[in-house]
Amino acid sequence: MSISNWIDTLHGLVQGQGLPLCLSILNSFSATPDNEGNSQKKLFEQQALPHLNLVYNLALRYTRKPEDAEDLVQETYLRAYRFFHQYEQGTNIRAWLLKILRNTFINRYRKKMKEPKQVAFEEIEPFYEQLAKSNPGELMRVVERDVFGKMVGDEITEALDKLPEEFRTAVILCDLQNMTYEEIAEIMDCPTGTVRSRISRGRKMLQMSLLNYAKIQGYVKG
Amino acid sequence: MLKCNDISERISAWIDNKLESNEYAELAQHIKECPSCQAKVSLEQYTKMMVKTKLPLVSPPTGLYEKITNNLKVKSRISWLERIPLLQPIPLTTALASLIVLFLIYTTWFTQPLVTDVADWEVCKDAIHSHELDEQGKFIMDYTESNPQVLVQLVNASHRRDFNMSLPNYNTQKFEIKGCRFCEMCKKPSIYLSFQRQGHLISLEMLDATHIKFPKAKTQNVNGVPYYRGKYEKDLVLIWKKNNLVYAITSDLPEKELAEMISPEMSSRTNIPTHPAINS
Repeated sequence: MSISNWIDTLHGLVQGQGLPLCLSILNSFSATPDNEGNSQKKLFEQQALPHLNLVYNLALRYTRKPEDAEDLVQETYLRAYRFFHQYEQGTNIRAWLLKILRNTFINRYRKKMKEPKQVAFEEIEPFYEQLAKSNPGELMRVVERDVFGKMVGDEITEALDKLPEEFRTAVILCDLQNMTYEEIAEIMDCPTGTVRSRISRGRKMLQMSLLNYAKIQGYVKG
Repeated sequence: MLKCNDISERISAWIDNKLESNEYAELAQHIKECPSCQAKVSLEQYTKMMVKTKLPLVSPPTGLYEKITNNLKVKSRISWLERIPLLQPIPLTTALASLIVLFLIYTTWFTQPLVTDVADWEVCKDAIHSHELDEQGKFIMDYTESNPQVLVQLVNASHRRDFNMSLPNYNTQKFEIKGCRFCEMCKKPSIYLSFQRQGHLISLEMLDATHIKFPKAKTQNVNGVPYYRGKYEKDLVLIWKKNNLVYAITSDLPEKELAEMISPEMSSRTNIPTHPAINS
């Protein structure tokens, strides 16, 4: 029986009863110094660090500033390392890391960060629905003329950054990172049905902001 | 017959090839006949492609990899117990022996919880900040403005508990629930809210912590309520205890103004319903 199993067993036995002293000591063991620590560290580096690129890019979409993203990534990896004994070998480490990233962002960073001003979607939704209903040809022309692609600057990035976090995460993971609904559900800790509706709603919001922008710029007729 | 509004959500799943086969045929029929939905499908496919192609994927800055690997030697947060040198690198055998002894002591001696003597505020505070609920359990919160109470259901693999906390009465403040964490040691949740006052963001954390020994209060507010003063980054944190709840308020407001919010008008905690699962 490995030490981490022992710890889990004892955690199970003392659950709900407090025993803080005992738990603190157990936790300090679970940090595993010495030999076990080194092999654990190696294993962690082999498994978790190849996903650095992915973790960093998602962190950047969360924080928007490279220096903050760097901090967030470092903290994510530190936390992941601390909880590595809880990671079940053979399961999806990528999802596990991104879940920790998201939780770290939500719990630690979000309150500190200045969130961009959110778009009032209820105000621009009627325009989209009206356009789709009465003038679908105009929507088709947006696609045919590659209106969004021709916009100067970073409108798409900006529009995405203005989505509420749960929609932004779902859309980025699905559309940018090509992840399955199941994997996104694991990362966001929700049922796949919720992922499906978040992706749907998120994409719709994104289209609406871009359309609204195109309308302001005169690319689309109202 | 499907209506456009019915299929709005399914368009995304259609594009991602995530529809069930029975849904697929029905939807295909509708889209074929409906120019409005055809346009929506095209626009959504196009938007998906735009995200894929226009969003920059960047390489992590040089040196980040090394920073991470170097940091792994150091633990992110060290609790005060771990700072005691004796407890540092304990050989595995000693560790196991101590575990067994602790376990035996636990099973033979402690029929009652041992909480009141050991944990203090500092320890719990650290634990609260380092263990978010999401990693070890789930929480469900029920909150309405007309009935400002928060119900937290802590669902862990091994146990489940419900807590019910009343919110303080700050007249017409609109609270935003930011989250919930729980103390790994006492397994009790804290609820974390924020609200605006005079253009300042104020965070309030409430912790059900009957076992915490409150530190000797440094100051008293105008109403004579003792409170403890701390710092969180640049913000001031005031901590006080009322009706077996510990409250921590954080803001960049001056202390005098913040201390006024330590009001004896706090609504008292109501009953804490226990979920049947615990008793069984």
